[in-house]
Amino acid sequence: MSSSTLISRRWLWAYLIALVCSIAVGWIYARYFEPETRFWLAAFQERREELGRETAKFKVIFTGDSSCSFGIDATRFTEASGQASYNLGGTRQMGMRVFMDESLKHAQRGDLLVLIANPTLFVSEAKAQQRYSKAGARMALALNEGLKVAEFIEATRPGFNHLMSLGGKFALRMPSFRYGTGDRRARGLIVTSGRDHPEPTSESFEITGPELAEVKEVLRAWGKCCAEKGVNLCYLLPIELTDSSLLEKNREAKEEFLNELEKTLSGVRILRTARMGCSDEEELFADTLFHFTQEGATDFTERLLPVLEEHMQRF
Amino acid sequence: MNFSQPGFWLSLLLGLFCITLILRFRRWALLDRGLLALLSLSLLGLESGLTLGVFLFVFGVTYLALVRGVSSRFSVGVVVILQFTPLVFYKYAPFLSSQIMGAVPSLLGDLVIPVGLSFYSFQMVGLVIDTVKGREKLPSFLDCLNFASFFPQIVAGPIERRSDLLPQVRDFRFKLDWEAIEYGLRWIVLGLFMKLILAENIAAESAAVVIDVGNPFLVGLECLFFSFRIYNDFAGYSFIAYGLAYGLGIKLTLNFLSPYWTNNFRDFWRHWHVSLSQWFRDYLYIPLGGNRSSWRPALLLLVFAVSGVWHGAGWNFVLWGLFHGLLILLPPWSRFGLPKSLAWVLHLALVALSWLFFFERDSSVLFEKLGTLFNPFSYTLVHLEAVLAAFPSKSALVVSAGILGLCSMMIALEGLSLKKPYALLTHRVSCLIMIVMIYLFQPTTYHEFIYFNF
Repeated sequence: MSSSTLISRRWLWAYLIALVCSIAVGWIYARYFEPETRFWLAAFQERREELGRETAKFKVIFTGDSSCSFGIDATRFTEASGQASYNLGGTRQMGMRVFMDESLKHAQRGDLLVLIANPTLFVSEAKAQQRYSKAGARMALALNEGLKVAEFIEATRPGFNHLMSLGGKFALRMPSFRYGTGDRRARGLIVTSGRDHPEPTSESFEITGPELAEVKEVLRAWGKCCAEKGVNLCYLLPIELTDSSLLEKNREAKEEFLNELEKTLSGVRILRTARMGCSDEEELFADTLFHFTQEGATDFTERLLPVLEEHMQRF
Repeated sequence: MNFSQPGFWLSLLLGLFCITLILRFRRWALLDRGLLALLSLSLLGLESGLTLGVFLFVFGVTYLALVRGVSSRFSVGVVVILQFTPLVFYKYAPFLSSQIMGAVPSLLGDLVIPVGLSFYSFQMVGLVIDTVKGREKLPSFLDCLNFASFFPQIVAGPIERRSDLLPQVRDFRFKLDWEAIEYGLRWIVLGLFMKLILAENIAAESAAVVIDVGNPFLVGLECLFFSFRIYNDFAGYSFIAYGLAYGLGIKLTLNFLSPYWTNNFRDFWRHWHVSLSQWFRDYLYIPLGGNRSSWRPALLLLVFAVSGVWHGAGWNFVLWGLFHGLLILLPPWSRFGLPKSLAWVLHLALVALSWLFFFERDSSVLFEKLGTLFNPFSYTLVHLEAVLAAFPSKSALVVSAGILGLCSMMIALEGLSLKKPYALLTHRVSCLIMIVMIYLFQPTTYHEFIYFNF
């Protein structure tokens, strides 16, 4: 073998080593340093510890996207109802698979699982029942869940956009993630002091046709998983800050949407509150259209209580 | 056959693994060439049956014409028309029908251009003309098939000439040449870096910027984004093709030679999509009279208008071609007494402006944007301040600045090795750095190679 061939072979090994090192760096970053994952990992671990100490036979577990994390004050719910309850909500980016894995891990036969999530999350998520989103894969990696090769690769590649934004925040001395340790409350509630005064939505609610079919498919899959474990599943629409002029119209559309779900889904109970997924009370919202303030979360939870109690009596 | 998708690389590795196994048992030259053709056709077939079918039609026409020994101008003309028929149908039928009938019939509205059609059609037309004109020996069926279907370049070029590629595929053998593989890999890594990191991130970031057509700074920024994107997208693809072929022992034309370091349009076209420029020069410009023609300026405009049409069916592409043709006719900047650096900046600004014709397909918006750019009163402080507000967030601004900075740095590094294009960027150490960056920096979004549509 000539010396130049030998050098080329050595460099090929060097390229391979560089690739392996990149994967290792990506893994270390995703597992230990990615700010959003760190925040949620700490929240999930805290919840797991609380749930580990729980001795009640019956539990109410709330799960879903950030409308759940910022919307359900499980401490208040427990105080008022006398039932053990936990908020295991995450964020939309994590995707349905994380919510399902985490909530079903803690729910036992007879428990009540309340899924609170914006239905647009379910659209094109039907297949996501079997796989993790990028943020979901990062979360699963941090929680030491098993990942497929493609999911692992996705989780360990932060991307230019993410790293540059982080660098920019660091340079401007801004916090690396908008929520911090101080925003976590007992039993899983997240409360933010940030008040960005979001503009109420002026978009009409409409989920019909193939989109509605996808929502049903996702909920049906959830219902099936819960039924296999003997867990009762309910679905509740989150409350969205809505422009006053659209309030009635969107409420009607959402009621129709829920009616349609109720008609065709057998394994999932559909919950309704008087607000029917819309509110124009701006003072109850914090930094996004779906994130309540502490007061908003308490109010939402208290209004939900009689609805859930009625359902619980049926079990 | 998308080089930026893992599926392609897995299929290729699987194919090469199977070939290695077969060649362990039997070894003769014909088998090597047969397996290469099989690999190329399989990879093309994985795209879609239609892609393979249309390719086989064009190839069939080409090979039959060569076997039948066409020689008269008329028969060559007929063959060329037949070779171009699928291209005209898939690429231009919807546009032509919309122009003639005022609407695209539903049958044509859903047409998808088979991948690589423009490129291999041009290459096969070149093969027929070269064979007939040079009275060259008829290539064997297998060599002709390998010439037409060689997988690294079939999808988006380079458009190779008979004299360059045919002898190489004729002598082709699968061999484990570590030096060639390592050198080829460096080009592949550079190509992937340009496509996946630079072009993809620019595409993602520029899509988020809200462009106000009345703001010249924003229109200029849009042109700048696209200038970097199209270069990194297309050159990235070409370098992967070059590296893949090199690893297999075949040397393709380097389709890009640091085009943004030229300072006039004549040079620009010698450095940008080199093989297409050569094709138009040799098969259209020179046969029509070339530099000796008394109609030279009109001829140049015609060739560039045709080049514009090759890029896409739309009036904007014709205008783009004509714009380049006009700028080629301009005397060099040095005649105006401009310093070299200023000439370079001016030339780059014109190149960036020309991309506006390329990406803006709505002619009313195109003219509105041109009006904005050429209206001196639109360059106000208010519009300048509005640039910051066009970004969805501060972080998007930082990221856009970062990616534009990274692109500029790459161009600067190209400038350090102009005598041996991309020598610094294909250096082994650069390759190591780029591997790490490709893994960590690739965005989640994906956009098709721009030239796949051509």
